[in-house]
Amino acid sequence: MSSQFKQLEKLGNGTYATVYKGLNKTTGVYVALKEVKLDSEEGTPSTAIREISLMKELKHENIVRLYDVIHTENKLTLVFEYMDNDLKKYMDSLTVGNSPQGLELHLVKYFQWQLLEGLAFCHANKILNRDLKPQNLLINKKGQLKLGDFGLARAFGIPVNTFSSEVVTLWYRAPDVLMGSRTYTTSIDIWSCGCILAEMITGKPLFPGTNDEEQLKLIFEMMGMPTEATWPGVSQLPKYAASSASFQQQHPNAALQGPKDLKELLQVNCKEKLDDVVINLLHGLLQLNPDMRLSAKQALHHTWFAEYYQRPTN
Amino acid sequence: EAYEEYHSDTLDLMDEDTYDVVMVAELADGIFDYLRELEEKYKPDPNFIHFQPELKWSYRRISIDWIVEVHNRFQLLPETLYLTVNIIDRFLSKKKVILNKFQLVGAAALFIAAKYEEINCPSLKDIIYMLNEAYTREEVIEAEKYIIDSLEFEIGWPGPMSFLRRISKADDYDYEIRTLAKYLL
Repeated sequence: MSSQFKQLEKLGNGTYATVYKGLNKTTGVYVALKEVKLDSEEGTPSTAIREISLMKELKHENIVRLYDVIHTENKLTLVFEYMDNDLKKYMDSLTVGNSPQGLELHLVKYFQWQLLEGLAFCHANKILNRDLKPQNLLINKKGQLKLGDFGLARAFGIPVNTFSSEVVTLWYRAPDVLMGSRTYTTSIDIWSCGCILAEMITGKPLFPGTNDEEQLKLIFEMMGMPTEATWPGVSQLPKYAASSASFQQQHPNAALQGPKDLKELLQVNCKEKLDDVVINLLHGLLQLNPDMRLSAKQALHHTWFAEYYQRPTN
Repeated sequence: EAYEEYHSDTLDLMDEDTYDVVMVAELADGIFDYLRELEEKYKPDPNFIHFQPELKWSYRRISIDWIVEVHNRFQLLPETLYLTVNIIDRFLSKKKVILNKFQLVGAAALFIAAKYEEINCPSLKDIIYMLNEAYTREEVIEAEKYIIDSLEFEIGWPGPMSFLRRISKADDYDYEIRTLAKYLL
């Protein structure tokens, strides 16, 4: 460990690295130190070269900054901006008894706005996030939200400890990806944004599936089963036929096949009154057909955010 | 009318680039502004030779000839070659290199570029073989690490191929012209 930083308490065992809180001794600023063990016969792993190179390019106020990399023979230490909390832990902390609580709508809006700002920046810089979820959205006491050090998850390949509580989650995965599409683009992150928006409103994950099949089933029950008419090309996807067949079998009554009324469903778990504007945005993000989903930039121009983009600037 | 023709808003489903993230049609303008910015940022110092007491331009040429040979031998992508040269030049813009380590710099730069660009990267053993075992594996690993750290992990230089793809796309070049352009690069 470089003597520039004082290593403080352990913040967590990630799937591929250990994270400590650290103190920059010269500036007095807290940082997050992410340590990755290197045991490579081939020198620096190619994934590390690629992903760190990408992360260093990403400088935006809604993306966690990678300040520095300390590269020793058998260890890489990534020096990140320190954040107090993540969205998952924050929402968990609001739980009353056994019932999760949604966030206040003005906070939902502020978080969603920042999420889309960070994501729009990634997309404009040719970077897909691919694993957006509340655990990866870091927040601080000022109400800022930043995308975490995505990419690095994949950079180091297979998770070190699969037995940790950090299970690989499918909940935010887009239906096109679940059905085996390999041509996905920025739209996969938009789907995740939709799931996260709904979860912030109600406090509950929108599609909490435990495997690929169940995940698709939950999505289709809520959003309806896609057809060639609503999504041209869908029947060519590798797992479409199987998922369609099992869906028809489980839901022989066409009237019960959905789509369901999202507003009604979310309202049950939300104390404030939901308006049609936010539901309209949600539908724009949660289009089954990836080509129909809004882009991050388009979403930022949605009426729901009017108070941000219409704010007079000095 | 020409505008209509080349500024189509509808996605062409038959076009492989429609499915390529880098070529995401809606984002293309923003992405290419950004790539031009990166190109500027990762530009080597054209006069670095003046700060290199032991090197001459002719040595750079010899080194690059050798890299082209190795590159060809391993059947690597053209992007890897351009990136290797960029890494060497940028590194030499920052650090002094003594003559007997010069080939090592070239080999390590090729190794880094291949790791960045290739799906199947040559192994360290292959690289050492191509060096005629003039350097040990520890030396190559050490050099690789030193170069990466000197460049502060900033390896993502866009190179000419990304621009060629975009230009030939926008202007509807045919396959032969594109191949010729690749040759000229």
